[in-house]
Amino acid sequence: MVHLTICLPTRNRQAYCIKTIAALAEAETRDFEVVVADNSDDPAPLADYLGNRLADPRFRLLSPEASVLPMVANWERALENARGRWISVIGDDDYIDPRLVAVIRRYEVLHRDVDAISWECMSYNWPDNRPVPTLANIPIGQGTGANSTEALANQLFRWSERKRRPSVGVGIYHGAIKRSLMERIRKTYGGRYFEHPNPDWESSCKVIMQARLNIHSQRPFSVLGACAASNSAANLSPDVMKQRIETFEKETAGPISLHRPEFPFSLNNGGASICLSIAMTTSWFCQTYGVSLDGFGVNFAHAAMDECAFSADRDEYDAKAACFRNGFDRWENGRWASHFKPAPFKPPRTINQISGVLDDRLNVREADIGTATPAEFYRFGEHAITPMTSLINGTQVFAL
Amino acid sequence: MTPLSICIPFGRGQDGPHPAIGAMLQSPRTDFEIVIANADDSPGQGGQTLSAFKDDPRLRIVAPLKGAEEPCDEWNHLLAHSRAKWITVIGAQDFADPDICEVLAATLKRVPDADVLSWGRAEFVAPHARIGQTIARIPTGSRLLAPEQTEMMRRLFYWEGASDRPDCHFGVWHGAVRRDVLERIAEAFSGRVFEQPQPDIDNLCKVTMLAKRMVMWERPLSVRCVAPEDTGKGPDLEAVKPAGWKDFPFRPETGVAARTAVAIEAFKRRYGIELDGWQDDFIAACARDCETASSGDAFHARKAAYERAILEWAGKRAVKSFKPEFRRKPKIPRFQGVKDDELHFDMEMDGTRDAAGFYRLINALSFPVHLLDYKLA
Repeated sequence: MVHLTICLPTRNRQAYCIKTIAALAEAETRDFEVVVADNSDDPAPLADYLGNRLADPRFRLLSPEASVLPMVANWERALENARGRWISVIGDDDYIDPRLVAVIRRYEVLHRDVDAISWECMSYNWPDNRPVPTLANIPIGQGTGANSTEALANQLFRWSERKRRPSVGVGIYHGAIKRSLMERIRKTYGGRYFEHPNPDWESSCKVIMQARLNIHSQRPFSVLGACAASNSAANLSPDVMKQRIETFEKETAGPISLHRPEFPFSLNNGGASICLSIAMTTSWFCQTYGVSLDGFGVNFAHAAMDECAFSADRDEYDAKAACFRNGFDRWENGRWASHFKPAPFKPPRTINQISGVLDDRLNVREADIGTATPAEFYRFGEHAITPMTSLINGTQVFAL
Repeated sequence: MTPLSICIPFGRGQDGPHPAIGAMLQSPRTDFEIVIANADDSPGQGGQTLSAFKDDPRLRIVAPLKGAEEPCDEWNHLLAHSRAKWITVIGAQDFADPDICEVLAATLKRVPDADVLSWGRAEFVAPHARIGQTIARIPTGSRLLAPEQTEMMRRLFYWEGASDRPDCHFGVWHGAVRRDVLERIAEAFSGRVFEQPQPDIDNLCKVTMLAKRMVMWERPLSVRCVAPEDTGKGPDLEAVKPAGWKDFPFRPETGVAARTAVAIEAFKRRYGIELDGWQDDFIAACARDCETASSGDAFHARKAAYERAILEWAGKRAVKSFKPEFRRKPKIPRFQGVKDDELHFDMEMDGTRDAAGFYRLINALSFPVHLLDYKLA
């Protein structure tokens, strides 16, 4: 059995996906496979590239089906076809280091029960996704340790940090999950690996609930890329956000609806944010599977206020505030509405501009460096973090 | 008056600073000038000629000094032709960011009587000169500090808190000094601003003694190109030790600590300054100088040279306190990451090939210059 399967679900972003595949194919290690789940309208580019140009047995293509699949279904079939002992999912414009295989082996020796591995991710905007000044970032922490399930659950389910995004980095998306844990998840939660339109955050919820031991590395092994066509590109422009949400809703329709009366916030009327999207997912999971939401109402109100503070201009602020206010007014008869008191809008002067070391991350002005893909950025970043060989060898002593 | 003159002395037969000039002139700023002395249009590094920049008024090429004997002559010559209020001097293969003007403006808003501005160190080894993996270190801080002059004098002349060199960098060499401070230096000392075979350290001594208001920005604003076994030769000098110093048997070529100490001694002796109590910290700096050696052979050679000099200078007891350790064993990987407010990274990062390219990289990794004023507001 191959040790690691990297699942690469993709839809209509063949050019990026091919670059990602090419970067993964450069790896010398043989003990991994890549399952490309193509959900594109045109099957030819990836079929031609993987079948004729790359011809690498480590890569398998799942061709598009007769009709476009919801994203969650495309993820599901990728997992169903994975053969590895460990499984990871990344986006088609991301990168993951296949030498992760050796890291997993080392963690398995050091921590016998480990069944979930997470890490801090680098982030990178492709050159075509820089309508405003942008920063890439490289986590520079060096520790590795076991995550406390209770702490993770508080952060993700109860939003205990009160920040716009829970700092939880656990799950199959840019993480590695042991097959046995994925099978347990499928068995426990309705016979599917993924149910919700947001399968990445859904996976975080399920892994936190079911993992025996989660090991977290502060050293990154992957890059969250954002190309011009990606959902995360919407963070840089409200107009793009609106378009992406329309497409997202259309293409993610699956067994679970994004919109539920139990959490009556809406992504449709402007002001949508990733913060809200995550909350829709975590609240669905908790309400569906009986996980305590104690503290969520007040904490989420603060997280929403934090999200409003990250507005590039007055219009964006007003739209976000209205979106949250509307939801809080309708949610549980306005029980939490009084806690949502966003600070008045203050024009930001430094969004995406503060390069340098901040909060255990090295922020890099992307326009001033020579990288063109997430894979190139990963190699760039590796010059400033613990070398992979040292990590795999368990090196403890370094010369200054 | 132009705010900043960047003077670039370079010796005869040495490659000219053409790539660095090209990179500096890419700046949209108009409030700086680059001053060099050059007689012909011979190609510099990379085969580029100065004629490529002839229409840019920010580059001032003055006639070389006839009969110049020492590097400090050219330094004085360039200074005489510079027009700006603040002066900085860099080497031919170095780079200085014209945005120093931005930092000066933000500094003068808060410290109107600032005499000298220093900034974080950044050193670059050209790819062909590297021996094995080469790690760069740059400061990660972005605080604007105003240290006391007395503290800086202790750091320079008493070697307090020194690494392999004194932790005091308030001079024109990869720093910016106000012109009237340089004029006061000429008046207070010998009538010449730059003297001695090592004008960088000579100037450091004089500025530290005369400047009352010193400001330091932790972030690098320039890059010094060095060789891996660099003895700190700096601005293309021949570090010649004055004759007749039997009581100070250190040779400049031994290492950066020795070279610096020789230059400080030259300054002190010339102006009759006698100090005591600095010897122990200087010996510790000699040990650290040995520890920066990139190979075992270089370490042992440097250690032996220092041992001989210390024994002759201060006797057996002093040698006992000199205990350098070579820690860079080839099998031990080098540290990469952030430690003690410094980012350590492999110099291969982004494949930079010269000081200007390296600065472009560290600029992308550092606090943005244009936000300094906002940060301080």
